[in-house]
Amino acid sequence: MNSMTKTITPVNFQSVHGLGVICALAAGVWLGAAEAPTKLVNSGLSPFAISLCMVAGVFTARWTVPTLLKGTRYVFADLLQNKHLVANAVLAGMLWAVANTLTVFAIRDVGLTIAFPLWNTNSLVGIFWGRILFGELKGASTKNIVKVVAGALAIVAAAVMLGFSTIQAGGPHGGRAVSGILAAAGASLLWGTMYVPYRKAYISGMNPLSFVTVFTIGELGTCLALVLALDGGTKAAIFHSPEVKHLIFWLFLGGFVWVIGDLFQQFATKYLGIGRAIPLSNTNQLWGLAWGALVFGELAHADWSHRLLVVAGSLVMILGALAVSTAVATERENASTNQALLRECVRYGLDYDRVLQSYGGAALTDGNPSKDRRSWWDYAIVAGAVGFFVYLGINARVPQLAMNVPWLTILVVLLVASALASGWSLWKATRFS
Amino acid sequence: MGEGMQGQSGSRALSSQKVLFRAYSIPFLPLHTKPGCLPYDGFRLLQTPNGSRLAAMKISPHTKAVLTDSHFLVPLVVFCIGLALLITLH
Repeated sequence: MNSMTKTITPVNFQSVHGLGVICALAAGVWLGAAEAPTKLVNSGLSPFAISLCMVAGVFTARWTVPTLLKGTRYVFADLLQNKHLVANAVLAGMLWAVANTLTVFAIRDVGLTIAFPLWNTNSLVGIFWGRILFGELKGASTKNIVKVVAGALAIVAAAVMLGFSTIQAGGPHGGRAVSGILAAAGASLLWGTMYVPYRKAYISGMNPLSFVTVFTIGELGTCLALVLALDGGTKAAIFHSPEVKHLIFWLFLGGFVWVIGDLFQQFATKYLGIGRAIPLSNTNQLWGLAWGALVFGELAHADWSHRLLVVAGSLVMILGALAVSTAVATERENASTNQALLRECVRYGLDYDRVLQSYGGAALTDGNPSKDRRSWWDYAIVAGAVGFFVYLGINARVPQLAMNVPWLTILVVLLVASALASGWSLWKATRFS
Repeated sequence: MGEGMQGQSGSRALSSQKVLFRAYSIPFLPLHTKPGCLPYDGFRLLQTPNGSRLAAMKISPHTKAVLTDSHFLVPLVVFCIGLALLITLH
């Protein structure tokens, strides 16, 4: 395509800004809830096994609700049209898998309440890559740059506060605080970088549901490889322990919750960009804190100074994230986004007009409405995946963890409400495109 | 097609096939592979004049664009760092 000489068509990116914000907030609610099942690491399973089970749940869950949103025919046609992005999507899944395993180490060593905010500094990493690789904030107003920089610094300050609170706290996690913080920092780096393939896919016009399909394969393959290489190979407890079949449902459930949150996050990245989507979806820190403290009573034995430091650090982090995310892109910044789209079109020979429409949320069927229809095998796939969840549920045993049921109920209601609101908005505006 | 391969220049034999990129000698090929067939996607098995067998990896412009794209290389490097950290903490 001779795109270098092609006139750049202005597109109204701001029309989808609100939609991106709604998706990012819903992603925060769901991703925060998804971390709760990793508490099962206290039940004796290795971090690798926890990760593998969760990812197997993510993979299975991808073939439930998301398959109903867009059928396999649409997804595979989209993948064929963007074959060059398959490697990027697999790599993103691999990044996620390693980062997730690191978080399980972090939770084991410093606890969910502390580890969660630490790895949420991935927003800084994302802002950095967004600027370097995609020209985000290029041409932004001074006000927006100040908001983003101040917000990013606030997030760093909050992470330091939370790190210090861990080391001073001592207690059961004190001896392994350094390795726990390292694990959380590594997860932050990987999860911040993971948005690079996300963003690349969407400025190339790919549908988030197609991207997630390949992404889950990268996740599952990497987690399986980690278990085989580092967790005892085929003799790993995950493959033989009779206890696993009673626990696996909860991890699959965590995977299900995670994949819904990730889908909202993918749409947020598409419509907001990395620099704004990550901080906003990182409000999952708030929800993770709510699950940890209200449902699992993680702060029950902490002294007042420890609690104050954790709460203050979390609040500063949220304020920082808000400052970054309220920096709405100006016309000049949007022009640099257009340049990023153009770069992809030139490099990979994509149709600029098609990519631009797709990036703006238009539902493209290439004149073939049947491409968007569900087939009988879509329903068969969904039935199979749901049936597997039911089978695991029948064999499930409630974990030996103290949980506050009233708070559990309240958080589940909020979870469902956020999904319905965001899902409805996405369907109305883009038909999940 | 990983372990056991040794780099070898086979440019004269490969140039006639127009799949030039890089050649490897393969000491232990699967029995079903024959010169000229495609044992694996993206690989072409060739035979040099002296009888040794080579596999040429065909790199399409699209694949080359992906492999040299900073959007792919940066995440790849970070993945390696993360994996090293994970192995260290294990």
